[in-house]
Amino acid sequence: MLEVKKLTKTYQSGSRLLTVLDHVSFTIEPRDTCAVVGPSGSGKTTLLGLCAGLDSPTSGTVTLVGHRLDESSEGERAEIRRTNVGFVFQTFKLIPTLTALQNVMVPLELSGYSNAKKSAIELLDEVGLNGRENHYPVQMSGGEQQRVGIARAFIHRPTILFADEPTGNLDTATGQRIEQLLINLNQTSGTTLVVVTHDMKFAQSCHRVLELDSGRIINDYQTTSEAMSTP
Amino acid sequence: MNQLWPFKMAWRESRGSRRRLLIFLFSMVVGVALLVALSSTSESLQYSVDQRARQLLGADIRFSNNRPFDEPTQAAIDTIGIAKAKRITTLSVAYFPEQNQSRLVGLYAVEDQYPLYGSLESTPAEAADQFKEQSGALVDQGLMQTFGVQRGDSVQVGRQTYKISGALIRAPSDTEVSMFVMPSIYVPMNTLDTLLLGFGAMANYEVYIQLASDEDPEEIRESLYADSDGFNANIDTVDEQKQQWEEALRFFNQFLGLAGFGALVLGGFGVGGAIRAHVRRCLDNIAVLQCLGAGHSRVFSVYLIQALALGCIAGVLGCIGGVLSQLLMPYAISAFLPFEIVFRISWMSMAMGFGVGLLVTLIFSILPLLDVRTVSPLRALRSNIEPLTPTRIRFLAYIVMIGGLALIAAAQTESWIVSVYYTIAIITAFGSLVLMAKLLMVIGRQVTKRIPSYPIRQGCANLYRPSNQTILVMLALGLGTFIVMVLLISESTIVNQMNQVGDEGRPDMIFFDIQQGQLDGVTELIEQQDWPVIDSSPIVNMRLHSIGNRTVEEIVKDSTREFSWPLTREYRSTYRSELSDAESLASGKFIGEHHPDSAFVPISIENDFARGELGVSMGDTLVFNVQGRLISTKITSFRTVEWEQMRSNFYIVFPSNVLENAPQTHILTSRRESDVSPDSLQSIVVAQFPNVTVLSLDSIIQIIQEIFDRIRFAIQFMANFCFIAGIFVLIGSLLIGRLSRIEESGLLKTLGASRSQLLTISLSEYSVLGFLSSATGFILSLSAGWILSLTVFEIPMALNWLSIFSVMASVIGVTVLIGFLSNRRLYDRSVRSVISAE
Repeated sequence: MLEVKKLTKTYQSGSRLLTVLDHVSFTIEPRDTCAVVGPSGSGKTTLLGLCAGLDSPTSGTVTLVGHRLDESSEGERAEIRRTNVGFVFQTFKLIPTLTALQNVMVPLELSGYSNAKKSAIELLDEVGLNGRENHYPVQMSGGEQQRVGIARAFIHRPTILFADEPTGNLDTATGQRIEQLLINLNQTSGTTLVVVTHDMKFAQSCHRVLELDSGRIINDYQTTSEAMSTP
Repeated sequence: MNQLWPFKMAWRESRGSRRRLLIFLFSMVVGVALLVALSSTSESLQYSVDQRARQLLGADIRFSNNRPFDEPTQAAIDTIGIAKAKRITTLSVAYFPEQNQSRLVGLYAVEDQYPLYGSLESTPAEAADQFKEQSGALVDQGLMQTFGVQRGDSVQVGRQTYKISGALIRAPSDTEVSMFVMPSIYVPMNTLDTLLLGFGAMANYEVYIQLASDEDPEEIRESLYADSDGFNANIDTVDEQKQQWEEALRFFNQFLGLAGFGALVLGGFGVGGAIRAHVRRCLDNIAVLQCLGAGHSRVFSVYLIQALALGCIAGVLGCIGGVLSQLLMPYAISAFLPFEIVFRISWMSMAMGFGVGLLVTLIFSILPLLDVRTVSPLRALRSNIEPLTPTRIRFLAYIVMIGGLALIAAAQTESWIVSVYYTIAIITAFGSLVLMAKLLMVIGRQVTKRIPSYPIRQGCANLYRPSNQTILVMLALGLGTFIVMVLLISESTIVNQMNQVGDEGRPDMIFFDIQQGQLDGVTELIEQQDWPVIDSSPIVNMRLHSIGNRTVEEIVKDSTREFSWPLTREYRSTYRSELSDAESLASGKFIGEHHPDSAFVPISIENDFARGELGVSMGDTLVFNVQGRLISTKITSFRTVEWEQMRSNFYIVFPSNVLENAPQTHILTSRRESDVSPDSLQSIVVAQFPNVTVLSLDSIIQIIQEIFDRIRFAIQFMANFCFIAGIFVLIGSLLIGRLSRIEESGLLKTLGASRSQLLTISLSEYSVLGFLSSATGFILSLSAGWILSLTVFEIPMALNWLSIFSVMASVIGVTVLIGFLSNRRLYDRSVRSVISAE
C-alpha cells in the first residue's frame, strides 16, 4: 500500500541546510491503521505530506498504491490523490463558501461522478449530520465541521486516508467521537488510515505506531489494543 | 473528469467574495463606460458632421481673402455655381448708446442669400430675415444679456447705427466658445460702414457658392489653384471641412481617450487588486482542492473563469454605463461644437468596450492568477507556505501586461505610434504615482511614529496593515487629483501671467486701426481721461517679395521647408529709431535711421521667428512689397521680444526715414491711472472714433477665464470618472480590510477603548489616507505643471493655493466620509457581538 525507503527531506534555512527527515523507511499494508507520533518539529507533518504526494522528497522513494510518487509529476500526483487518497486536517479545511453537502461532493465532482449528491447525502447521514447538508461551515461546531471533513475524505472511497492531528482542535469528548468515527470507517470500508497525532490514547488504538524524533524513526511497533476498535 | 466542475466551483467558490469583487469591478466599469461613451460620442459627432458639413460651411464651396478679390480672381469666381452670397468679416467695437456699453465684436456683413445652406438662428426666429430687410442688426444673444440690451435698442458699429432686430443664437460654424471669445453682430452688406474696411483693417472677404449638380468642388479647386498667377484666394470645400472635422475628432478621441484609458487602467488596478485579495483569501481553499486531487490546471481554471466572468460583467455593465454617459457627454463638450450631437448607439463602440473590459480584467489578473499555479498543496498542512511565482515568469507577465495595454490603446486610437505614446504616458503616470505613494508612506511612517496620542498614532499605523491596499487607494484617488490639479496649475499659470502683463507700469489697454488723421485726436481723448499714452507705433502693411535672388513664389514652389506661411503672409511692420522697452538686442546692431545713400534699408527681425519659421540669417537681403513699391532691406540685427507684454510688438522693425510716407495706421497703448474704467474709456473712444478697435487686458483675462471654465468643465467630466473609479477602489479596499477592522475593534473594545477613541482612530486613518492620496496627486501635478509651463506655455509656473487646498480638502473629506460610513456599525456594536463576528 505505502512503501517509504530512505526518505530524506532537507530545507535551506538561510545559510543552514535543515534536515527534517533523515533516511526514513517503513511500509504500511492495506487496511492497516498507523499512527505517527512524536514531539513538535520531529517531522511528522513533513512525512505525511511526502507520503501523500503533496511534496517531493530530497532523496529516497515513496510508493503509494503501486505509484512511485517521487518520480511522478505534480499532475500525476494529483491524479493519484484524486483516486486513492483522502485527507483529514487538524483545522478541518472546509471551503467556507460551500455548504456541507457541496464540500463533501468535491472529490466526486472532480472525478466526474454523476451521483455525487446522493452519495454525499448518504455519507453525511452516516457521520451523523443528517439535516445539516445545506449549512455552511461557519454555521457548524468544530466537531460537526470535522465530521464533514471526514465525510469529504471518505466520499470517493480512497484506498488510504491521511489525517493530520484530526482531533487537535476539538475538546476531549468530541475528539473521542471523531477518533471512533475514523476507526469505524477504516473497519467498514477497509481504507488504510495514517494519522499524525499527539494523542497517545488514539495512537494506541491504531494497529501500528511510528515514533519520530529529529527526523528519524526512533520507534516502530504494533499495538494490540482493541479498546477503540469497537464502538 | 468532470469538465463542468471548474464552472460550478468558480460560482460556488466566489460566494463570499462577490460583493467585494463587484465593488472593485465598478472601478473597471467606470473606465469602460468612459471609453464607450467617448467612442460612441465620436461616432455620433462624425455622423453629425457628415450630415451637416454643407450647413457648417454654408455653401458647396467658399472663397476667401483678406483683401477684396482682384479682377482675375473675381472673374474666375463669377463663372462658378448657380447661387452666390457674399460675406465680409471684420473686427470692430460695437457701441450700445442706450446702455453706454461697448465691446469688441466680430462684425459680419452679409448679402440676402447668406447662408446658402443652414440658417442663422435667432430670437425671435423671424429676426434672422428681418434684419436684412429692415437694415437692422442681429446681435449675439450673450452680449445682449450681458449689457441688458433689448430688441429694438440700437447699436453703433463704425459710423452706422442699427436698430437691433433680434438676438443671434447661433450662426453656421459658430460655437459657444467662439461666440463668447468674439461675439457676433450680423448686418446687411449694403449698410456696412466702409471706414471699417479702410486701410489696415483686419477684414476677410468671402463668397459662398452653391454649385450645380455637375460641378465638382474638388475639381474646381484644383483647376483654380493650378492657375497660381491669376487666381488669388483661399478655397474651402465641404470635403475639406469634413477632413478638418475628422482631424478635430481624432484629436478629441486621442486627448480625451487618454483620460479614458487612464480611468480604465485605474479600474484594471482595482480589479487586479480585488482578484489578488480574493486569491489571497482562497489560498487555503486552493491547497485543499489540490489535496483532494484537483491539479494545478484545474484549480487555475476555476480562478481564470472567475476573472473571465468579472471581465464579461465589466464589459456589459461598462457598455450600459457608456450609453448612459453618452447622454451626459454633450454637456461636457457642447460649448466647443457648432451643432447639436445626434444621439446614436454605436454597437461597434459597445463591442470594443466589452472586449476592452474583458481584456483589461485579464491583463491585470495575470499576476494574481499566476500565484494560483504556485500554491503548494502542502499549504493545507502548513499555512505559512506562501505562493511564489518565479521572477522570470513575473517579468514575462509584466511584458504581456504592457503589450496588452499597447494593443488596447492601438485598437482605441487606430495608431500604433499613438498607442506607444499612450502606453508610455500611462506607465510613467502610474509608475510615478506608485513611487510617490510609496515615498509618502515611508515618510508618513517615520512622522506618525512620533505622535504622542495613541488613537491618532494607531489610526496612522492602520495604514500599514498588510491587507489595507493603501497604495492602491492612494493610486486611485491620486490619479483623479493629479488630473484636476494639472488643469488648475495650467489655469493659474496662464492667468497669473496675464495679470503680470499689466504690472510695473506696463500697458493694459491697446487701441488699433487708428487712421493717420485720427492719431492726434485719439491721443488727446485718451489723455483727457487721465489714461497716459505709453507708446504709439505706426503700422505699415507689406508682403515679402524675395529673399536674396529668389522670389517668394520660387522658394514656395521649390522648397522643402516646413513653413510657407512666413513667406506669403501679410506683415504689419513698424518703423522707429530705437528699441522699445519690451525688446532687447539678440545679435547684430540695431540701426535706427536709414541714410538715403545706403543701398539697403537696415532692418531688425525678431530672433526666434527669423531663425525658426522664416529661416533667414544675419546679413540676408529681403525685398518687401510695400503697397506696390519694392524696398530692398538687409538684416542687421535680431531682437528678442517679450511678446507677453500688452503693447505693440512686431516681427520686423524698419528704421526711420523709410516708411514715413507709406499708407499706415497707428496703434496706441495706455495704462489705467484714473477712475475711468477700461469699459468706459472704450465707450468714450468708440463714440467719437467708431472705427478704432479697443482691447483691454481685463477683457482678455475674462475671456481666458471663461474659456478655462469650459475646458475645466470638460476635463472635470473626465476626471470625475477617474475619481468615481477611485472611490470604488476605496470602498472595495475598505471591504477587504473589514475583517481586520472587526478583529481590531473587538480587541480594542475588550481592552477598554471607548467609542470616541475608536472614532478618533478611524478619523485619523482616513484623514491621513485622504491627505496622502491627494498629496500624491498634487506633488506629481506640480512636476507636470512645471514641465507644461516650461515647454508648452514658456512662462513661470504659478499656483492658486486656494483651489489646490479645496481639491485636497475634498479628497480628504470624501475619504473620511466613505471610511466612516463603512465602519459606522463597528463603533456601536457591543464587545460580545464584535468578538462573535470574529
